[in-house]
Parts: sequence; structure tokens; C-alpha cells
Amino acid sequence: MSEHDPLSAESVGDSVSSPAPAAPPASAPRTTPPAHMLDLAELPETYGRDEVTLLSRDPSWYFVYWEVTEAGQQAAAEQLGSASAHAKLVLRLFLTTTAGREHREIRDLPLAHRHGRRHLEASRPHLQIRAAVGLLTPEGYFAPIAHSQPLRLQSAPAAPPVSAKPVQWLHVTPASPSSRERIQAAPPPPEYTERLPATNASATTTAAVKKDVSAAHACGQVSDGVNHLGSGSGLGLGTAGGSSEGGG
Amino acid sequence: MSPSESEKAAAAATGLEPAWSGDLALVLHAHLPFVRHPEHRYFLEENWLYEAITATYLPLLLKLHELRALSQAGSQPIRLTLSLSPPLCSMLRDPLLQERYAAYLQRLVSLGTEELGRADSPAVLALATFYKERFTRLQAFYHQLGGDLVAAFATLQEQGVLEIITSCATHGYLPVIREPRARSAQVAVAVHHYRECFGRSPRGIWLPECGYEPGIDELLAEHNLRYFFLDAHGITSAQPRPPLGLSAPIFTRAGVAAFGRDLTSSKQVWSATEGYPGDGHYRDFYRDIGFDRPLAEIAPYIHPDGIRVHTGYKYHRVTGPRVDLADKALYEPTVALARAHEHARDFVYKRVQQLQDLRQQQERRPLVVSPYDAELYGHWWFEGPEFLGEVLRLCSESGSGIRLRTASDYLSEHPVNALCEPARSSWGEGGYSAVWIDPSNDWIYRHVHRAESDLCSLATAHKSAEGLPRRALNQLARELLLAQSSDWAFIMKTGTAVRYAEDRVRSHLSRFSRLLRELQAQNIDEAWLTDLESRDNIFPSIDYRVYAS
Repeated sequence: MSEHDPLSAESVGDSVSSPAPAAPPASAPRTTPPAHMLDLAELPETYGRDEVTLLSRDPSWYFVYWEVTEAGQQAAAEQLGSASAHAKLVLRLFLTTTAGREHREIRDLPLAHRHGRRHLEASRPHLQIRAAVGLLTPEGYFAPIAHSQPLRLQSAPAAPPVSAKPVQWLHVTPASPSSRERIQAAPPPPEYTERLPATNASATTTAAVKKDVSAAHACGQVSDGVNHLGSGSGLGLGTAGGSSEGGG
Repeated sequence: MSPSESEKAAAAATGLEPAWSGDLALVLHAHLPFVRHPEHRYFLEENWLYEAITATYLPLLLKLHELRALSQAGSQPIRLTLSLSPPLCSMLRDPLLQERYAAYLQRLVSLGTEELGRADSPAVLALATFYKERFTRLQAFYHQLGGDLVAAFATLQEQGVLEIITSCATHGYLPVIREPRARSAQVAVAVHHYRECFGRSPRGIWLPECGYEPGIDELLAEHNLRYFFLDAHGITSAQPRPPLGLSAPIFTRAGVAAFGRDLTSSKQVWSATEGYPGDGHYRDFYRDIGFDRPLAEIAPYIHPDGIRVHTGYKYHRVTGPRVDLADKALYEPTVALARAHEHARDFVYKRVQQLQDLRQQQERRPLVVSPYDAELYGHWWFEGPEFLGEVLRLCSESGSGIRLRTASDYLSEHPVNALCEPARSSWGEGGYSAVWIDPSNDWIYRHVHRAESDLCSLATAHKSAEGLPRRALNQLARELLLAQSSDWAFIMKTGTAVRYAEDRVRSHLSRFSRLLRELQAQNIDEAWLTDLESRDNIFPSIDYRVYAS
């Protein structure tokens, strides 16, 4: 049996983009049941696993489904000992707001069934969420049975403020039969810098480049001024440095 | 305003003076879910493909051939980006579906002959003649192509008219795929399939539903894909804010370019109220003789069980907003054609204006990216291919003030772009994942995610399977991929063919479960597996090890 949060039927707020090009299938909707489909069977109610999964629906809503086994619940009860007598199955949400001053919150939602799914509304913007299903005692002891991976919700759709720092630029040279793709930090293209205000943006950027490249070299991240795709986290793309020639 | 070095170089290469205001990248995304039922002689949902071939793919090919033949010295090259999804390519190349489509076309021509005898007025007779001639011409063209539309599109790519890109293997919506290896498989299988179809590697990808979240760019980079497309807010909400907004792509940290959808040009075509297709002179989609004619007359051309379907013979026009189907006026093809050309001129004029306005704000020549579902042109908007052809022709005229470009063209000329992280987004209603994670379809994910985990574990544990177990593992991969198609969740949400979509998900997962059990028990029913391989025959050369860690 599945659980549905009554909130799930509500709308999800203002649209931030034009409607999807949602051309329906080419034929008219069926008016009769479809022809018999081979190998059709009901899917299992449960899979005998302890798990909880979060999916992001939009900036304001997220989706969770869970399953816990009898054995998992028994193990949690044993962990609680005698306190488990009045323990209840709950979905525990660890909510962290990452924008501005960090705010942490724990919410417990009682669960009537060992497996199910819900759509939940985010209480704050910029949420990072982790979920666990477990037993909660009236005294507040919690024994988890399954944990989810963390989920970071999309921030609000408003355009971000223009950064005070100069935007960084990349020069990407496609792979050729004789060479791999190359990704290099680059100065702003001339047709962009031409319009920058009187403060010498190119000079500022170049100074920043030198500083950052030095830092990158100090960390052993850049060996030849060229960042090679697939070289892992040492791409050094946090810098705006590199060749002013581009292409390379 | 002086042209940049890259623009001068581009102008030298094309022989054109750098007098254009900016670039236009028209992008068509062609996709249908994999629907193939050899176990039935007639299957209603297979018509999705046949109708799209007739109304969109063949007319588009015809138009591109025509434009290429008409191109003159001094005119600019026609450049169009076309994403052909792997399921669509698989169906277009499938001999059974090709054979069934040829029979479908023949029925359309035969119906035309009967309609000529049934016409009760000169106007209806003219319309029946119009359709019969049209279907006869399409039939001749289809046979001229040997029934291989993928090869025909590939030729246009070789000739420099098209840049064909791929999409995910079965149009899986990546943000809801839980296992990283399962996400990767959607891309890896698509890239491999593209090479089989087109003899080269794809440069770009159409992310299903434009669904993006951070990390997907790295996945694309791993498969040497250079660019993808996002809805506008994926770019405008990127961090930091892209300095050139939507009028230039951004690079992600993985070095992959993200191009943003232009909303103005999109609205002109898509908007139900303001869009061109709502014009009263255009052909009405819903009024069709499949629903109008007495059953006895139309029976050979609809479902054998008597279910009425669209035949393609549609004699009426939109007429006006909120006009009842019964009150629609008769269609006048020549008037509609003239209207399509007027709308094309309006579209190009507005793009030039838009590009000129953008040019006032930035030095780099702006780019407008206008992506559409390909099936809009022709299937929903009957005159769409004519409109599109005229847009391409007008843009290619010398002195049009606009250049047609593909994403690859643009990146070759502008290899330096701002480094920003695109925002999580899709082009679905609401702009995120609400269409695909909805109470109508959310039951899917628990089951699909379980199958993802099982296959990733199994593939990792049995990397050197041979013989029957290998075939079973490959078929498990096919069944999972087919269950992941974003179309099923979309159909459940929109309520169009819900039972079919639900049954498709259930049947693929049921096949997956049974095969998994048999594989684990080392008791594979070979006859059943062989039957399954022949029915769900997408990706014959798939290698299950794409799921292995």
C-alpha cells in the first residue's frame, strides 16, 4: 500500500518557464483498453530491502519513497531495548538551509506503513535534505533503519546577482584525431572586454590570473598551463589563468 | 562597431561581409518512444510512428532536399540542428516497421481513391485530390529513399545541411535515474548507437526534456559530447550569472557548452493563444474523416476492432478560437500556404529585430537558439514544414541580416565562453521535474530504481559472461532502458494513453524480474529469451557491461 501526502495534489507554484512543448502522442487517446501486452504482471509490493530515496521535484517540493523490512525494524527495536515498546515508525528529515546563516532542523513524520511514498513541501529555500526511516520513542530516542543519499534542492528561480568578481572564461579546443580535447582558462574574449567600464578589466583579470595560477601551481594542479579533460579534480578551473593565445 | 577577430575569420571563411546582426540556431528534437508489437498484426500505438513519418519526417526531408536544390551561388549555407533519438532511429531502421509503414501509406492512397468517389462538393473533391496526390508523392519519395529515413538524414548531414545530434538511449529523464552507472548507460548506449547509424561520433546531445542537474555535464564530457541545450532558466539562473545571458552559450567546469532556449521565438510558435499554428486558416488537427465518415465507409482504414482513428484526411481548418468541431470551415490549402509564408517572413523579421536589439547591448554578435519538438512541424501544425522551409530560405538569402548556425559552428567560431554552472532545470511545465515526479506516475521510481541497482550489481559481478547468461544480461539492459523512457511518465501525467504507458512500464519490469530470477537460478528459458530478443529488439549490439563499475 502506498501513502500519499494530501499536499501532493496541490499545485507547485508559479511557472518559471514557458509551457513545455508538450505535444501529446500522435494518435487520439484510446477509448478502449489496449491490446493484450505480453509478460504483463503486477509488480511486487515490496523488495525486501531497507531503503529510503529522495528526488527533487522543484525548488519547493521533493519526493520520498521508502521500504523497511520486518528484520530491519526488529534490529532497530533491539537497539532501543525496552524503550522500543512505544516506539513508532517515522520518516526523519534532516534539513539544512545552506544560503545565508546556516539553519538546521529535524522533522519527524509518522509512517503508517513500512513502505510508501510522499510528496513533501520544502519549509525553506536552499534546502539540503537527508532522510532516514527508523523507530522513534516518546522519549526522543531514534534508531535508524535506512538512510537516503543527501539531496540539495534547486534554489529559487530568480536570476542570481551579478558577481562582484570577474567572470571566468574557458577556451575549449575540441578533440581531433591527433589530440585530446583541451580546456584552458582564458582571458575574456576581446569583443566582451571592449565594453567593460573604464577600469582596466583586462589588467585586473590578468592580475587575478597570475595570482590564481601561482596558487594552482603551488597545489600541483597545473603543470603546463593546459587543463586536460579527465584529469580529475585537478583541472584548476577555479582559476581564470592560462594562455592568452587561446586554442593552443 | 568593429567585428571581432573570430567574426572576421568566420566572414573570410564564408565569403560574406560581417554585416549580419547575429546568428540563429534552429534545433529540432525528433523523438518517439519505442513502440513495436510484432505479436499483433495491428497495434494502435504504432500509428504514432506512421503518422509522424507521414506528417513530419518525410515532408521535412522533402523540404530540405528542395532547399538544397534551390540554393544559389552567393546564398548562405542552410544549417539546421536535428536531434534524432535512438528509439526513433531504431524504429525508422526496423524492417518490420518499415514494411508496416509501407502498407500504411498504401492504405492512405487507397483511401484517397475512395474519397474521390465520395466527395459531395467540388471543394471536398479538391481536398480529397490534394490529399491523395500528397500521399502518392510521399509514397514515391519513401520508396525512392528505400524506406531508410535515417540514411536520408545522414546524407543531409554529410552534405552540410544538417548537424544530427543524439539524445539519451531511450529518452530517459536523467534527474530521476538514481544509479550513476544507469545514468551513464543512457548516454553511452546512445553514443554507440549514433555511431552505428551515422558512422561518426555525435558532437552534441539533446538531454531528454532538457532535464539537467549538476554533474550531468561531467557525464557528457566523459562521452566526448561537446554541448547540450537547456531551457532559458537553466542559463539565466546559472552561477555566476552569464555575462551574455541567453545570447551565448556557457561552459561548465567539465568544458561542455550549454545553450539556452530563447523564449521569444519559442512563444511565437508554441503559444496556444499567440502562436502561428492557431491561425484560423491553418488545417485543423482534430477534425478527421476517421471520425466523420459512417463506420461502413471507413472501416478498412481504422482499427480492426472498429476503434476510430485519425486517417490523415482532414478537410477543415482551425477557423477561429473556440469554434466547435462541427462548425469548422473547409480547409483551403493555397490560402494556408500563403499564410505559412507570411508567418515565416514575420518570424525572420522579428529575429533580425531581436538580434539587432541584442547587438546594442553586447559586442559579440548574439546567438538566438530556437529549439522545437520536430513533430510540431507537420503533425500538429500541418503547414509547419512549409513555414520552416521558408524560414530557412529567407535566412539563407544574401543580406538577410541573419546567419544560420549549428551549436558546433558557433563553438568553432567562439571557443571562449564564460564559465558558469547551469541551474537544475527542464523544459517541462513548471521548469523542473514536476511533470515526471507526479502523483500520477511516481509509483514507477521504486521499481525502476530497484532494477537499476540489480543490473549494476549483476553487471559488476559478471563482467565476463558469455553465451546464454550474456544474452540474458544484455536483454536485462534493454528492458531496463525501455522502462526508463520519459514518455511513460509524461503520458501518465497528461492522461493521453495512460493504460498503455502503465502497461509498458509494468511489462518491461516484469520481463526484467523474470529474467533476473532465471539468471540467478542459472535456469534461463532460452526459447522465451529468444522471443524477447525478437520483440524488444532495440540496440542489438548493446553490451551490458556499460552498467558495470
